[in-house]
Amino acid sequence: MKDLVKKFGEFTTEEIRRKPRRARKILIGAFRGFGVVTRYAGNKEDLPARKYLMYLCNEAMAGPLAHPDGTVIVSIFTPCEFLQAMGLKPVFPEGLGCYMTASACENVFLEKAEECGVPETLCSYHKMLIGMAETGVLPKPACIVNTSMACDANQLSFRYLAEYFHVPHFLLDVPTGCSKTNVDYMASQLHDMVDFLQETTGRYMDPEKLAGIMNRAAETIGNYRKILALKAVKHEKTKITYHMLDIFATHVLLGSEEVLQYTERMIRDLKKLPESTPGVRIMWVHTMPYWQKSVADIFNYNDKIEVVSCDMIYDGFTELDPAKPYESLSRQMLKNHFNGSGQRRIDRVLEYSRKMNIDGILYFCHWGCKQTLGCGPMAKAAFEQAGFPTLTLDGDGCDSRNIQEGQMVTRIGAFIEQLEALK
Amino acid sequence: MIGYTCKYTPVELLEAFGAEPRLLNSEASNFDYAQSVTHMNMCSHMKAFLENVHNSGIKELIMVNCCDSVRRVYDVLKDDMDFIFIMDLPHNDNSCARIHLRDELMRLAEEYGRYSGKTFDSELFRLAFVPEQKIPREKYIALLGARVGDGLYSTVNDMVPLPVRDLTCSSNRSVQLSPADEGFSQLMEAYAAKLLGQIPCLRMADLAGRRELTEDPYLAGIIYHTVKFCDYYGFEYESLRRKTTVPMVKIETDFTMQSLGQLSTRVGGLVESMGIREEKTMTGNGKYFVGIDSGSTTTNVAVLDRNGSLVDSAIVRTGAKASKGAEKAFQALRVAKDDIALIVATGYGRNNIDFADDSVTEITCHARGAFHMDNRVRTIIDIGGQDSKAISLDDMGKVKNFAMNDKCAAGTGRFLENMAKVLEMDLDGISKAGAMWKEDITISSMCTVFAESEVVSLIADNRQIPDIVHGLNKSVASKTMALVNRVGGESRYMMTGGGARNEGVVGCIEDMIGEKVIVPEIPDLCGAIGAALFALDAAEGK
Repeated sequence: MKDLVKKFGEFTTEEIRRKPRRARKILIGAFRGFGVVTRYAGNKEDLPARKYLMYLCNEAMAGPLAHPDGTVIVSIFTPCEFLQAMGLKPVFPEGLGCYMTASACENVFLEKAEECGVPETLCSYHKMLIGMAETGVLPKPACIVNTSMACDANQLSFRYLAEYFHVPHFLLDVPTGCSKTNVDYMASQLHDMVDFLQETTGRYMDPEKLAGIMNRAAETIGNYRKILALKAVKHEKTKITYHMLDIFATHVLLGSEEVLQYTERMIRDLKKLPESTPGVRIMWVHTMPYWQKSVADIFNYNDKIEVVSCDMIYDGFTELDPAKPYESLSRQMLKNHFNGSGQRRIDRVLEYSRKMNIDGILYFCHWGCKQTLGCGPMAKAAFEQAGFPTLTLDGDGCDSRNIQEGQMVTRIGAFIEQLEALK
Repeated sequence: MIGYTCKYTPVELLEAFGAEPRLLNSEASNFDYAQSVTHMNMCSHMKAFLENVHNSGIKELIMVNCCDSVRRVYDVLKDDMDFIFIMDLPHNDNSCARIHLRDELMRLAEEYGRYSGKTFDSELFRLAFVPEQKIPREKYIALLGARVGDGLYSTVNDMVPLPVRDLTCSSNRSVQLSPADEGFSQLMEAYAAKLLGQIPCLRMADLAGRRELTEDPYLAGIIYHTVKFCDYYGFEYESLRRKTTVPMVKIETDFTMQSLGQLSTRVGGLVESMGIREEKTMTGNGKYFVGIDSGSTTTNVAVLDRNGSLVDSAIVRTGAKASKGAEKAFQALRVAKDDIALIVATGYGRNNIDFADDSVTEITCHARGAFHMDNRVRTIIDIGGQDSKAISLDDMGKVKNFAMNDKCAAGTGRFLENMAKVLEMDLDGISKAGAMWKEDITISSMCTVFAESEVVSLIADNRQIPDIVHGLNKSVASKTMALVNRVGGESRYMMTGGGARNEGVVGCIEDMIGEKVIVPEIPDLCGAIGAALFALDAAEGK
């Protein structure tokens, strides 16, 4: 499989260099094809719900590439419920970044971005998106909307892309702290954002449709809480890719009918598993290099080691009031554990680690994410004080040039041995 | 004393409480403490800030949440300070943002008042606003981009023969307010508007106000500074590079004093390209003119006669000291010392060669030497021991633009030397092996250390040495091409430096460019020939 992906990557890379539009079509076809194959004939060990999620996410990546007119480039924390209510599709760096690397054609984009003067130290997801635009693979969107949270890269890549594509750009300036003034400040910006989207795209934001989406979003978060509660007492033999897909589902895809269905199916599938938690159980913090074979080989379909969850799945879990979408979604952003002090994230990770019977925490320092890596020593100390052995692991969520395979594998291996000895 | 680092810090408000705010902006000698409490890949300025705080014993800090690194440094320091406050700065500058900032200012006033036991003094507040100084109408060089430390500013100031204005991030602060007799809330709202109304830094949403920095008719040139692991200003540099009509050079530092040594070539290149170099008066009676290129790996000497013809040359290993390397190279020459009229030094060690009459950067010398050898050349690709560079020339052979690798060794001769050691070969062996590749391997790691580990894995995987070498050559070529693209490389291309001796690297670059490159007979001598031509010019009073 690895050789097949490698060959696909080499072939697509050549096409990207020569005929980027054709390369885009190849990528669209590959994502859709792989999604359908996984849904109906994927790995037997995967829960059916998981396969359905793969299909959904692949479609979410392919759709906007195929129909750019109705797309908006967004940051992962942008409340996309409003976009859904207007029939607009989101494109976001973390999603495409992962998919390009999983397709083994990331280098051509990353190198192109660096050639264009993008700093090598920028978050690789954002660098990838710029490279995709500069090579001509990423089509021109209708407009760009992003939040100032959670990281500096948002302030740079989206502005760059707006200038590159000559499209309107809207920034949601997210303050820290969830005071009433801040909620009002955010809510007024969300109103402005809706006006901006309506004006820019000519689409109407139907309040009734938004109410339905908000109901589904609230229900989906409720279901996710149940999923995490089930995962606290059950062992799911799976691959780490699905945690990354869960991140997409709880962010830009939240509120869709399909994601709600996925969570319902997931609850049913998990209930069928026996109550047992063999092996060591790990909480992953931050994004995942799921495409990295050496890392995947350690965790995927392993009875003795399970990555149980990832903190980016539950960073925005708040109570949503469908009757007050603007205030609710403002609160969701303000209360997100990425917003503000690093202690908030540490506390939330500890809360879920305790709830989910976790043995150890893997804190992944994704290249360029100063938010995460700056807090590394502090988080490690706090987790260990709370009784959770912690591994701080340097790597990259989507740039294979930035990793040192051998060292990563040794460190993960030693960490697992440490956890096994403590069991 | 209360430390701060951002120009949006409300220093006047703190002074109204009798506090003494101090900008913490010094370079660090090392990052030992910073890396023990945070990560090595954090913004280098903030690591230097941590060192400053740690070493000075400062116990009061006011911070602004201007970037990810500041937020994390606040997290790290918050339990060790007597007083620490992080002010939430909006990205926008509109009425809602001003109200938000007003509330933050009032929160600060309340917290600092409670901590210090002092009250807001409106007279002190009024006095805290320093009237703007009148700037003389004269040509100047602007230091733009990310903040510069005190050491960097004085280094650049010493190197440039025009006035240097520090207009970087924390230094272009300008807040003027004439407080009226109004309530505290209204006063803070007016103050918030003034703080937000400054020339915006790159983290702000609307950057239109930054045009003021680059549209001044007295602006003669730009030295653009970026800080390692601060991503903000690299974007503005790139945008300016495409638009600006004044000469500009980019320098990057990691906010240590050690990184300042690397700047002389870049800043010197700018000064030379602007024609504002302070000329030395040189006279000499001999018949030969010598250029010495003191590189990190070899020292190369070229001797020209009055007709500009090469009459002698030498290439020796530099060794540990540039001056010793130069002496060794001189001893290897056939011409008598007494016959030498003038000596111009260039290269990394050019300022450490006492017996040279003058020094010129290798940028200008390579341009001069390459154009002298072949006047069709419009782009020079120089792969040296620790620097690789691309230089674009105009039709007269003058430097139009240049780009150099950063501190990282990837893409330089040092990279190939390290890899040769891993493969247990010498550089000649590498050059020959690269031509015999069969399988197209890609070495993807961009860091030299990571690449070394990748090569070790490939050896363990029984991959053929020529294929690995070809992968390394492609990696060097790809890094080099990024520089070529940055300067807008145009045909024809000449390769100079030791890297040009490596046929594999030359071949990979030719594949990427799509044409043959010119490689001089002795590519290492290009810079030395350029320097010797400058010596000849000086003798002829040009």
